[in-house]
Amino acid sequence: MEQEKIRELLNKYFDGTTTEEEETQLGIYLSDPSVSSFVRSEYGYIPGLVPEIPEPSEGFYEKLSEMTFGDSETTFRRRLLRFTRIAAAAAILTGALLIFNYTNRSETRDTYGDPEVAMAEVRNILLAVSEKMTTGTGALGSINSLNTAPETLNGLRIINQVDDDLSKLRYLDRLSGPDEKTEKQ
Amino acid sequence: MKKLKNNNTHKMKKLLIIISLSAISLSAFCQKSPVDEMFDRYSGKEGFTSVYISSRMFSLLSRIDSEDEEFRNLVTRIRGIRILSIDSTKNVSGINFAAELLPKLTRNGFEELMTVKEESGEVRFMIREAGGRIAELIMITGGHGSSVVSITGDLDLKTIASLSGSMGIEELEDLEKVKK
Repeated sequence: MEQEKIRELLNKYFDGTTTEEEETQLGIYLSDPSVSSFVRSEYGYIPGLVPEIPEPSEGFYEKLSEMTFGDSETTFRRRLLRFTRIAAAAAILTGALLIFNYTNRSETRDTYGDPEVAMAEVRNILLAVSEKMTTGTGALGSINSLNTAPETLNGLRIINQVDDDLSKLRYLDRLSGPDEKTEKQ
Repeated sequence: MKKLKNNNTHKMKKLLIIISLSAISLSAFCQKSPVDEMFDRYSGKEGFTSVYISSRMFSLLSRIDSEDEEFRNLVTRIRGIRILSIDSTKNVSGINFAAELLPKLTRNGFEELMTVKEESGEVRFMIREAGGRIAELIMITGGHGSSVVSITGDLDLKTIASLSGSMGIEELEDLEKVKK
């Protein structure tokens, strides 16, 4: 009788027409050790298909409800707290790395311990630098000579003006020339 | 609800900005200058000669009596001198200070003052200005026996002119007029 029921349920199961209750019942039947070994060897895997749903832990539904319908302020605070923790950790790591690099800078020592020797060396260095600079700026001296040329031209302009005035005098002389000659005669 | 969300976003942004600014300022504080990097890399290695005169030594130098008042005044304005040169007697190949340093200097706010081309190679003068004054002068010589000279302090153009001493100071004063 039980065998027949099992077969009926199996047929319904493979047709996909079983209800949840029937599937649970089928699982129970098949897990029963009194069922013939043939049926169990053929279909014994079916009870495994019925998943065992674990009991939820304490406060599970409260948490689920809070996550689903909880107010955004609480959610935001949690996110902010998580973000702040990550950011703070990153900032501390970066800061520590940078400060470590900064403090590990090779502290350069003075090459000269004697100020007199250092002074002589400074003089040499500065003179060497200035010598190179003078080489570069030496050409600027010739720029000054360009200023001399316009001054010379200004002098020439005065000569031209004097020449113009003399030309006018010569013209007047020519105009008045014959009368004077007559008077002299 | 929307107002609350906006407020939260605003708080998050504010926090992010504060963290970013702190990180940037910290990294800027700890960053090495290109010249520091170069001295760290080559100083003390075989084939290189380095000279360092610190600000502490310069403060001692300013107390030494000197007949040359102009030179003494100049020394009081300098905070440090560093020189790195390739030892010409050693076979150091493939090092070009100018090629290595110039792009980094340009990125770090240095400007080219002038380039002098000589038979032995190019000499480049780079300056870094701070508050209208020259805070650092770097001279890079190329060719055989290449070297880098870094002078830090309060170096305006008059100070640079006074470096020349008796050697063509008039020309450097002309340079000052050109720069203005």
